[in-house]
Amino acid sequence: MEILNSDLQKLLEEFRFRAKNPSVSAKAWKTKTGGKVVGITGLDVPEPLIHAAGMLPIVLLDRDEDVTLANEHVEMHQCGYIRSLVDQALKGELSYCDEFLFHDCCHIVRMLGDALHTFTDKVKKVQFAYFSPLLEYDTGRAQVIKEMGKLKKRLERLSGNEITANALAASIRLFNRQKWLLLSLYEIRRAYPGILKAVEVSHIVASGMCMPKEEHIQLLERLLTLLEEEKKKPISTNKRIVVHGSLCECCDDYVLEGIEAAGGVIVDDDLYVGSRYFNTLYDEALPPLDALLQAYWQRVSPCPTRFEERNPGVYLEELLKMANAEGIVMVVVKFCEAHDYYYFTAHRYFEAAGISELLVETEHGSAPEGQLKTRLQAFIESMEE
Amino acid sequence: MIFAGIDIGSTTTETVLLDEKQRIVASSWVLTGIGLEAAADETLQQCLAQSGHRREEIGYCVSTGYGRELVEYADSDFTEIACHAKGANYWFPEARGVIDIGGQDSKAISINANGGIMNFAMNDKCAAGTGRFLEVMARIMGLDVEEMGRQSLLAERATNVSSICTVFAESEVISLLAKKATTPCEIMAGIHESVVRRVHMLVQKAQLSVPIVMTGGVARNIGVVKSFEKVLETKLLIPEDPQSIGALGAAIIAHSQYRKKRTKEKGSRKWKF
Repeated sequence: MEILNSDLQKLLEEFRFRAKNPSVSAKAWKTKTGGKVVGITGLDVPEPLIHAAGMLPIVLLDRDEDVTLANEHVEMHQCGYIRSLVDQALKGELSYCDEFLFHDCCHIVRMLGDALHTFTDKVKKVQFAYFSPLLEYDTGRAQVIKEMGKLKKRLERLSGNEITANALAASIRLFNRQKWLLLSLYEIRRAYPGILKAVEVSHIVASGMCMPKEEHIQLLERLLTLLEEEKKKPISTNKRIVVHGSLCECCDDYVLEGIEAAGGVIVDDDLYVGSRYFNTLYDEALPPLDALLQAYWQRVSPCPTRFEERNPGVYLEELLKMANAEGIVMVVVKFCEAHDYYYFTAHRYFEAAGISELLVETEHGSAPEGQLKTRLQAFIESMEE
Repeated sequence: MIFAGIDIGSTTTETVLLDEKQRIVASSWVLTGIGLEAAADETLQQCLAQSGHRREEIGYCVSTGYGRELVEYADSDFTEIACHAKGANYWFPEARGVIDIGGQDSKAISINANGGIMNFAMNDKCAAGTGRFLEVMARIMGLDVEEMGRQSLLAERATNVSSICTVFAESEVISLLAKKATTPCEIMAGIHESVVRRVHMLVQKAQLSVPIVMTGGVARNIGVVKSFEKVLETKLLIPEDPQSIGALGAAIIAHSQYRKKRTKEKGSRKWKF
């Protein structure tokens, strides 16, 4: 790929900086507005509800740094994402958050709530959104409706602001705007493979998860304008690859870079810090609270923590077709049992469908790059046959 | 015109030269040591001397192994997985599976009739089930790896070596030897079974079909080979020089890459006219 123009390089550096330094954006926002910052985890936390209450939702992401202080409290064989968050909290790096709101998606996230409360700042009690994963049952749906109402009241109490229907509708429009822009970016990525590196795309999405949406939208609009010039440059003819996985955390840079160094070009993804974050739009024609509920029930990407009949393999095969991709790399984070089971369902489907697939198991703080490089290159070589 | 394949592995470096009819004209190996490029150069020089060719006669050179990117004069690099697949296919075109146990990694490769990769699995975070594991064990026994293989066949039963980690297994074996409740041959048989248990998981993962070729230096250890044959319930195919199969495969790929390049060049010349 040719050298990017300097404006684009500066903008990409801005995305990277914002992604790696959420506290900078959060503190600036607090100074400007005097509002509260809510640290959140999980795709199913209804962010527009927090925004409509006049607070700033920041998705808490893992950091690619060694876990040190958390070792005393969280075992090495626990989820790396949780270990990283506890570590960040112990180091005071989450002190910019006034509140925490997590989606109760697995027992490990519940443990995170306890760990943050017990080991770090006892004043901050972690709030949970208890949305039933039983999507196929009426009782499950009734519970989600009830919980959404309760959550609205809790957020109103936390912020001291009433969440009006108009305010929520405006927040939904804002979030949809960000989603549309990111969807447009991914469309460009599919049409012009290699126009941006996968790590750059990851920073673009990550920054949007941990900075005010209004500011991120401005950056995205500028990005799409600058990419018009890049479209004129030659596109990559490497093997077109889709990456799935890292369902609660950032996909490691060395994996994304490794795929591209091995002769692949990532044309789409099904990553948490990727399309999973923005591919479900809110229906603006519905009453705003119903739009949030519908987004929960009809999420585009299947999830291993839900009880649903969809086979993830079917969804991913569709994604591969849409991206005209030749293979998929499945990134499974070690010690995530839910994802392990989910992976095998998809794997069996791929085998039967004859889809080229490579499993990459990652672990926080461990990067066997030499071995991975060989496996990724061999995967690309196998597609040449 | 000749074609060179250079395999820089963690333990040894090999080079194989092929002529235009894909006949092996020379092969050589040295211990890799810390000078990876020097090891590659040394084997290449030895091969050129053996075959009486000059360096300028090399039409295409492919490097493989962990040091594959360090060979500056290589025209391209391929993984040892692709190269072992091609090399195994050269000797045994009927083979549909390859087990390669190298110095620090093990691989199971499912291949097609052309020696192309269909599926593969390799160890990624642990050296158990590799040549290094056997080297450590052989050192405790005061033997070389091949001799350990021969002596293990004298055992009537195998002692269970349960530790997965190479370091812990070393302590376990020392402790077994000290207890004297079991013979050294039985312990050696147990060591081989331990390697096979690890690599068999990869074989299952990559869904290997028979016939299966075993490549890499460990294929010289008759104890591991026999233990594998027992578990797999099939006879393994062992090439004459299992250690050089990666370099041989690299030379085969060099040959085909050269042909592809030539075809492309001819095509582009045609367009110019």
